[in-house]
Formats: sequence, structure tokens, C-alpha cells
Amino acid sequence: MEIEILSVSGSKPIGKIRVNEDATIKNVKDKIYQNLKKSLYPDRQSIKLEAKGRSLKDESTLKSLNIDDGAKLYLQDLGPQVSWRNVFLAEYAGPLFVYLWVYQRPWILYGDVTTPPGTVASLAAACWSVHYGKRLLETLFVHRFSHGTMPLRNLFKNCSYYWLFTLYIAYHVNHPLFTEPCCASVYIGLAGFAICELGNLSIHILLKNLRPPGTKVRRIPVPDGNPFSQLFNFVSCPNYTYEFGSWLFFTVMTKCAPAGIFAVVGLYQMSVWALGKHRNYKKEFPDYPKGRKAILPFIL
Amino acid sequence: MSAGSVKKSKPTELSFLGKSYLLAYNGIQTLGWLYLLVWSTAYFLDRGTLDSYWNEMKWVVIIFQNAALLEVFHAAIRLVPSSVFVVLMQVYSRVFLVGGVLLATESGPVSPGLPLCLFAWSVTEIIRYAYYALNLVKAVPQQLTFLRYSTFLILYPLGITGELLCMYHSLDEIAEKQLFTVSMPNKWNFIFNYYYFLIFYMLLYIPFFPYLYGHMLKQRSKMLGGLSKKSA
Repeated sequence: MEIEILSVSGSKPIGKIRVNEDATIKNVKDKIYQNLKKSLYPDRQSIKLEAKGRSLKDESTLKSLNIDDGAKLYLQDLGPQVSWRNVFLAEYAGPLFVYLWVYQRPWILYGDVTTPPGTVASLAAACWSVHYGKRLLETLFVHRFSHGTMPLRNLFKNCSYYWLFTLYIAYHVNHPLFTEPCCASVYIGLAGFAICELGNLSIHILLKNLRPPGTKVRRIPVPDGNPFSQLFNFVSCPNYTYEFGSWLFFTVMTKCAPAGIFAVVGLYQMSVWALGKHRNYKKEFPDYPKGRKAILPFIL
Repeated sequence: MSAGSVKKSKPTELSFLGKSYLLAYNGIQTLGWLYLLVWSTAYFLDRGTLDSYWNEMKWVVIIFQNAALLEVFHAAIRLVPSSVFVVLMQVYSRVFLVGGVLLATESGPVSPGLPLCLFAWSVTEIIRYAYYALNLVKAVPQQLTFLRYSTFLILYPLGITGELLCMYHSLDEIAEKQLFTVSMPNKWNFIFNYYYFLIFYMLLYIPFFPYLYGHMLKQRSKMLGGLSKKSA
């Protein structure tokens, strides 16, 4: 059957394509790429039934959407796209590089420094490296991305957030006039940080095992044998809870206000995501556990 | 990763009490800014100088500018259908200038930017609050709607120029006196340099001004487009 493709801006005709009766939106995108617009690779396209309507899912069939011969579909250019994996690698490699750069070469920011880094500064650098090293390895070997790409502008936004915050924190923690907190603070902070990092990793592995490879199957996450996963009894997104915990304990360990600011800003953003996921879980699964909160047990 | 979109709750029909309160609030604000405009005009026509201008009328500015903080509260309790974040951003920049520059320094208030931004603020606010007040009783004249969505074309750049001049004139004093500046070593390992913060804040006007101006132009075409259709 023949379908006319129009642009969402001004409903200008782009051209016509021929597809099978049982074709999916994914097939339509491929056809547009092959026959109409070579610059618009499938990930860059959004197909809609109306100019201002919602984007149609790739797996939806034309039949299920009641699209007949001679129908019109609207095409939106989403702009240059970049894969989620590459965005994650860029935004996590930056903090690792920037922090260690400040730690090992303090003269770049502070001029001539005669004193070597203190114990807490060294511990903080180790914790920072472990955290972002873990994130990079998770991106490569653990995470499965349900969406293939995101707009290129997000790369700059996300990288700016992580890289600049890293510079801000590293500047303070590695400062020659840095005041080390008491031993109790350091040990509590370090222990808490280690526990939260392990917890975060455990949850990510559990979530990976929840979804079989190559599928988009969604199930209610429940604790497994790992004690760290028990947090699922209290919150929908324990990975975010542990993430916030890591930065909270990092702040306790360094007693550095900028690290605390980073923890709070992170908590805000993760709360927005967690509340969204929590809402989706409840909508999708009628038997979703009632007692769970989104991110902070008993609170939020 | 992104969260589901948050549904905006429909603004509920205002109660008599809510309407009366908003009418009083907008009415008082209109009169306050009108007083400021008339007083300032008379002051400069009477050959008043910048040296004593701020001291003469600072309390009027402090009261009526800080009263705008109530608008954030109005949005938060859904008394008005505005977004809390948008209102907060609009109010913050002015309250920051009053508290962080004009009240904190001696050089900020003697800047030629002060009468400039106070003129822009007062004319804008007289029109805006009068529009809100009359809108509550469904009696907004077309001329007022036109002014509400047209005066910004001149007053917005004028006001921003005034604000930037006030900040610029206060920089040397801030650097010299180390105002609001925290340096290390301290218990929380935190540095804050108000001088650099103010420079950074001034630079933020570069991307934000065109964005906000463009937004207001869109609003203008939306509102006045409908107005011209009505009158046709």
C-alpha cells in the first residue's frame, strides 16, 4: 500500500512510500531513510498520525493503527542523535579524567603547591575513581538501553553537568587549605560510601537479570538472595537511593559543602526520575506492592 | 530515564475571598509603583541628584519589590495558574538586585542605572498589576492589553541595562570589601567569591535576555493577534 509522508512543520509533502499491509512503524522509517531522505536515519525520525500528535512506537503495525492505502503520516526530524552508551561513556569518563587531573597536578589550579595531598584528599580521589570507574564498566557490561539514542544536544548538557561539578568539587577537596574532618567522619563516610557503591552495583545487576537479552519485557523488581536488594521492599528505585547515599557519605567523609550540593542536586533529579518510574510501575502492574515509596524509604 | 510528564492541575474557580485578596494585592501594588514613578519623576524634575535618590525612596522599593515574593506563594497554592518556577525566576532577579547590590553596597545606588531600571520597573508593574486587577473583574480595556504586551519592547532592554549598570558599578566595592565572600580554610571546606559570582551572574544575561525576549514576543503575537481579530 502507498502512504504519503508530510512534514510536521507546515504539513509540507515530503513524498510517498510503498509498504506491505503488515508493516510496522520501524519499516516505515527504514523506507523513508532509503527512498525519501538519506539524511534522516531511522533513529532521527519521529512518525505521527497528526502534526501535533504523539510519536508512534516502532513496533506498532500499520494495521493496528488503522492506516489504510493512501493515508498520511507526519514526519518530525528529531535532530542529530547519539547513542545512550556513548553519552554515558562521555559523561562518566570526563569526571574521572578531570578529578584525577586536579588531584595529581594541583599547580594547574593553585599555583606552586609544596605540600603533598592529604589522607582525606587521597581517599576522596580513590572513592571518586571507584565510583566513575564502576559507572563506566556498568555502561559497557551491565546496562541494557531500551532507547537506542538521544538528541546530540543532551550530550553537551549532561557532560557540562558532570564535568563542571567535578571541577567544582575537586577544586575544594584538593585545595592546599583544605581542612580534614575528624577520623570518625572519615571512617563513617568511607564505610557508608563503600556499602552504597556495592548496593548500587547489586541493584543494577538485578535489574539487568530482570530483562532477558534483546527484549523489552517489564516485570516487578523484587529482592533476590543478595542482602543489598532488600531495599526493593521499601523503594521502587533503590539504585537511586544507593547513588544518593554514596554522595551523602562522600560529603561526610570530606566534610566539603560542594560535595553536599552535588548530592542534593543529584537527589532532586533522581527523585523526578524515580517518581516517574514509580508512577509507571503502579499504572502497569495492578498488584504492585503498596508499601513501596519511590526513592527514600517511608518519605518519598 | 525521563520521568512521566506531570499533569498540570486546572486552576480552580476563585472563591470570593481569594478574588478579593488578589484584587487588593494587585490594587495596592499598582498604587505603590505609581507612587514610586510619580515621586521619582518629581524628584528629577526638581533637579534631584543620584547621590540622595536611593536614600529618599529605598523603602518604597524594598516594600513593593519584596511584596512580589508573595506571587511565588500565590502560584504555589494555585491561587493563580502560573508556574512556580517561572514566577520565582522573574521575581528573583529583581529581589537579588535590591538585596544583593542596592542595599549591600554604596556604589550600586549611585549608578546611573538605578533611575533607568526603576523607571522601567515601575511603568511595567503599573501596567501589569492594573491588568491583573481589572482582569479579575473582567474589565480590561483593549488599550491596557495592548500596553501590557507592547511596552516591554522598550522597557525590557531598558530595565536590563539599568540592572547591569547597577551591578557593574558595585563590582569594585565588592572586591575591595570582600562582601559576602567566604574563603578557605573553614569548617565546611567551601569557597564563595561574590565578586566572581556577580560577574558570572551578569554574563548569564547574554543567553537569557534573547530567550526571554523571544518568549515575550511570542506571547505578544498570541495575545495581540487575538485582539486585532476581535476588533476587526
